[in-house]
Amino acid sequence: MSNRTTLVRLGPLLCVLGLASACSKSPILNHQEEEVRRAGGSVSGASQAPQNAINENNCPMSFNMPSTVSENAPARLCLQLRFSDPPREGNNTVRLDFSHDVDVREFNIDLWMPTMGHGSEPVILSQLASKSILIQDVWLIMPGLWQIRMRWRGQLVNYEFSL
Amino acid sequence: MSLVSNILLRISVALILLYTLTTHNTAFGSACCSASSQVPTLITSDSVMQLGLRTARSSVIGSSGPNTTSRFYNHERSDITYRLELLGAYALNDRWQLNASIPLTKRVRRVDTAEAEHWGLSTVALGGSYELVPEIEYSSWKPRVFLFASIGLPLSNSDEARLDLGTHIHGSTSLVKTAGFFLLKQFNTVDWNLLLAQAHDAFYTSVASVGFGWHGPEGLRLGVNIGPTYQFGSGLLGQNRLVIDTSFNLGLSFFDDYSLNINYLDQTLFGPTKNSELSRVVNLLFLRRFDL
Repeated sequence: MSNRTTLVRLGPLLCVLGLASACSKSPILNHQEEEVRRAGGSVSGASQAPQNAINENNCPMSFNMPSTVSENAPARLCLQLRFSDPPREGNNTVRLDFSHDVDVREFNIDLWMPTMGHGSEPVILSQLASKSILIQDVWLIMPGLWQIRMRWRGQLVNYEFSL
Repeated sequence: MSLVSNILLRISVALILLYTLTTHNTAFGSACCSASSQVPTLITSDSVMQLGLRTARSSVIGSSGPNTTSRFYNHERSDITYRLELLGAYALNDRWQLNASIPLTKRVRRVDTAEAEHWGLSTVALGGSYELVPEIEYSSWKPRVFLFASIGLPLSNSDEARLDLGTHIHGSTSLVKTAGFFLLKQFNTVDWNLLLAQAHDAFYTSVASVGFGWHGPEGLRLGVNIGPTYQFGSGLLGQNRLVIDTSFNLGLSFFDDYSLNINYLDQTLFGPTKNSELSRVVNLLFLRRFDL
């Protein structure tokens, strides 16, 4: 079979595929690129302020530290939560930075919509650094009020935001 | 094959089908739409047995949200899965076949400065098929119709899935039951095929695919397949997931009993897609057939 015949046969098929791709909501033709982090940043949000050290003076949220015999022990575990990109419907990534070393296995985190009475899928937790945890697969399935519910050693801290 | 074993086999496949279509159990789910083929290894030639080795590289390049908008990951994030799979099928008689696949999988995931990898056995599948409509007499239009069913062994656990950057590779945490039809027709130098399949582990997944192929000289085949994979209710609110798989296929048969198949599957070409990761997969299949 000549090359010309082959082209004649494949041509209409390729045209149909191209047309279907253009008419459907093709991801390759209709997508956003994930934002690249700023220099010096991390999975921190490109749209958010640069990271400051998390400590008693910069403590957006906190858990109470368990009581210890040492008087110099910190009273609370401070943390800051940041989205890698501005929160959006779909799959998101979140970073938690702490004032002290943490173990990801002690955390239980889920997503909840308090006004709707439901949540979303389980997230994936990873130890990014000794004082940082990465939360992946933060699927925000609809607009509305959301909570990221963080449980640590029997305590609960909610991070609430609107989408 | 003896009458008893024939009856036992028929009962087994019927039970698998019944179990697949009627049971529902809740368990921690596997990732949606893994781009792995739902079609078992079917013998469509006169061979009595075939063995295959498949290697695949799958890369997640982005995700689609509930409103069908897609976002492609930047260079700080990568999620690559390598797969080496042993496939086999055995024809018990003219219509009944058994098949099995044993995949070894390695997944490497990187996010920012964190990187994790994990490898091991993925879902091991065992199944059977029945040629519902064989091609006994020549027909220019009537396709061969295969009915198939399989079970995938649950080798995963939910703890594994939530740590180490999500590099879990052991597949589902519950038994994966798959059943479906596969229609195949070759006429002159062209062929077409149609796949309709339903799988169930923690969720119901429906797969449909239509394909066309052209047979050239020297055992060459060029093909294309397109179809949706739809996963029902995998979100807590019953949010469904949808991807459109498009694959391009180059096959080469040689020495009568051997074939080599290169397949490129892309989930970013057609939409709409929603609530799912988007992958691109390249796989290479080497197949050896054994005649009677």
